[in-house]
Amino acid sequence: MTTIFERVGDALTTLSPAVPFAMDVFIGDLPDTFITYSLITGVPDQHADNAETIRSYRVQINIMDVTGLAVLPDVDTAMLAAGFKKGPERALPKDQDTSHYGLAKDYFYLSA
Amino acid sequence: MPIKAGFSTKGFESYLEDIQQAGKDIDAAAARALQAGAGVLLPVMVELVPKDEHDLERSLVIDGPHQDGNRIYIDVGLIDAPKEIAIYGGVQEYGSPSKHIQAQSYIRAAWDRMKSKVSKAIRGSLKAEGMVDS
Repeated sequence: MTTIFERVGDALTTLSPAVPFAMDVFIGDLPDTFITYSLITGVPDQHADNAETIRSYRVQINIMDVTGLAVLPDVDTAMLAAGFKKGPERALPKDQDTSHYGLAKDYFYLSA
Repeated sequence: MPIKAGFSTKGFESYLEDIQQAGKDIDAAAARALQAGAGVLLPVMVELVPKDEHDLERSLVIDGPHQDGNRIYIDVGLIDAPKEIAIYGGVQEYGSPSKHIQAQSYIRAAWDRMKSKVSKAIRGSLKAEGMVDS
């Protein structure tokens, strides 16, 4: 069975042009544009006969770019194609040291 | 900027109006119901929040209920926390990828875990006041 982490990784691999990405924390020198993703929650959403039948996942994807947030990789298309639904998003404070702007986007996935 | 989970009576205004037409004071009952829901949510936020010097934990509050026209709402989270705590709270909730800090969600995680129990608490409160049948 495909894990939620594989599912996100596979989706981000389809970005064109490719964008470097990592789970949780990007190790090493930071590229001008990069993506990180984290699992925020994975909670049972439905039970039947004392067994879990649906689990809901919330994944946060951070798109970081030194040029701003006007033109960003099309993460929405990649994630929707992988079966995710769009959730809320929020701009992250600009990093004064690295000059990266950031956009945190939540996506939801229901696993039966 | 507040970091919070908010919920309200939005979406069932017409139902509440019908009840009001029947002569019941729905506003007060709805406010108590939202408080019941917030009372379920806040302890889980407190449980999940990263605890260093406990400033974040102490700053988590229930704000409301408030009324805006027919809509009654309540917020739970960091509402009017001092700037430094609000910034720290944002970094913990959303992470800071360029600083190699991953999110340790306590607002969204609490909501995701408890949303059905919040709904149950709201419904239970309304039921106890005779506003819903089942």
